[in-house]
Amino acid sequence: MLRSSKRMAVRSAASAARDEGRTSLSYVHATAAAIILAMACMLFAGAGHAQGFKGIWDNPDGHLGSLAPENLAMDHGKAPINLTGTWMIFGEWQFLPMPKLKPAAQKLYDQATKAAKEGKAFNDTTGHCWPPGLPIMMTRVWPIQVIQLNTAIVMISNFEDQIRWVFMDGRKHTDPNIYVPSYNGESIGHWEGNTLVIDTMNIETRKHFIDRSVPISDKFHVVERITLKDHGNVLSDEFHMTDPENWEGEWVSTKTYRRQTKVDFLEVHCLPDLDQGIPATFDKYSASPDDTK
Amino acid sequence: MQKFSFWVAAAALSMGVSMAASGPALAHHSGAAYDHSKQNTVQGEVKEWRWSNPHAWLQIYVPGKQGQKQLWSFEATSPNILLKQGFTRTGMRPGDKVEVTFYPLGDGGPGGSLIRVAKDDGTVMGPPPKKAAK
Repeated sequence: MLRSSKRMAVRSAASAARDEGRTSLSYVHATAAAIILAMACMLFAGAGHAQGFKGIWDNPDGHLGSLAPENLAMDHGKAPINLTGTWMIFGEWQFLPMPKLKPAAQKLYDQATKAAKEGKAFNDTTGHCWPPGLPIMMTRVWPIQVIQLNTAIVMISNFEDQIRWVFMDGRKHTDPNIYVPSYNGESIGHWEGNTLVIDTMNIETRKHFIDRSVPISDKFHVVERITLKDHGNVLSDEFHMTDPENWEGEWVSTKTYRRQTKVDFLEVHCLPDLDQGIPATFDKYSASPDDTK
Repeated sequence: MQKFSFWVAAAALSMGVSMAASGPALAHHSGAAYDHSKQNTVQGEVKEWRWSNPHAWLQIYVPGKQGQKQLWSFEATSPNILLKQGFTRTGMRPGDKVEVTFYPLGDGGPGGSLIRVAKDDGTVMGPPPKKAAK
């Protein structure tokens, strides 16, 4: 009975195929095309993998990577000072004095001030694992390591291992239309005498505040002037920050760091359950409970 | 050594307090919720002592008036500073009986900012009371 049914089914299928020969042929073609396409994709992917996906991670403007041997071998000028070291902020950590804020920024600042007086946080985004971003990634009370190469100066804050690359190989800022905004921005540096001058733009604005809830816009621009003092044991970073949408003129503040000689980095992550035992981050102590969204 | 440890602890603590009072505490989050003008103590049983960066924290069960347990949470500073105050990763284990000294939450909620822990075996971790420095 079963065999009979199978034979009937086969005959029926063969008959249907004859009756709809053109359609079946189309199926065959389509199936073959799909297989060929899939094989081509696999071959392409395999080739890409074999070549380290060559090209797909290239800088958008095609600039040589700062660690490319041919870039490192180039003459980018002799650095007048060496900032390599581990540094710890001392003195005032807030960016003072404050500039004259524009009304919308002033409103946020006032809300944050009022919340603090009432024992509540306000726009405490860093407390909920949003990146601190520039400039406050430079003022967390954690050490900062600086590694100086001739093509780039790398700065790493041990607080959640925030990293910024200051390119020293003569490149220009990337077109903002193709750059992916980043919390620490795109930093380009050059030497003026014994001063490192860093120009930073292309900075992510989302949930990005300076100290007491001062927001930034996509016009935020930072110029830093870094020098060494006290026989190379103190690093001075003079910030000149402008954002015509949020404050008037330049917001100028200098931060100082002391060289550390017995400090290596620890692993610091903002894990999803970090705040579980930290009452100050609980929603009931926040005047802006959407900090996590 | 004891003197050195104390001053390191005191410096670290005062740094944390001043930051907490004026903005983001210990660089990670706001400390506005804590009242740093007061110090309270509470006794309980350790639920968890999380030894991690950027903060360690302690949770204990505190017996309530009607016998039910209430969970209290205390944030601590980072382990590099805690080590200098006598804390260690295994210094507290679940079930340990402890007395916690802390800066309370402004609204009197169950928790605060950790200062010191005394275990029932006599071990004390954390900076000594200020009067001991005189």
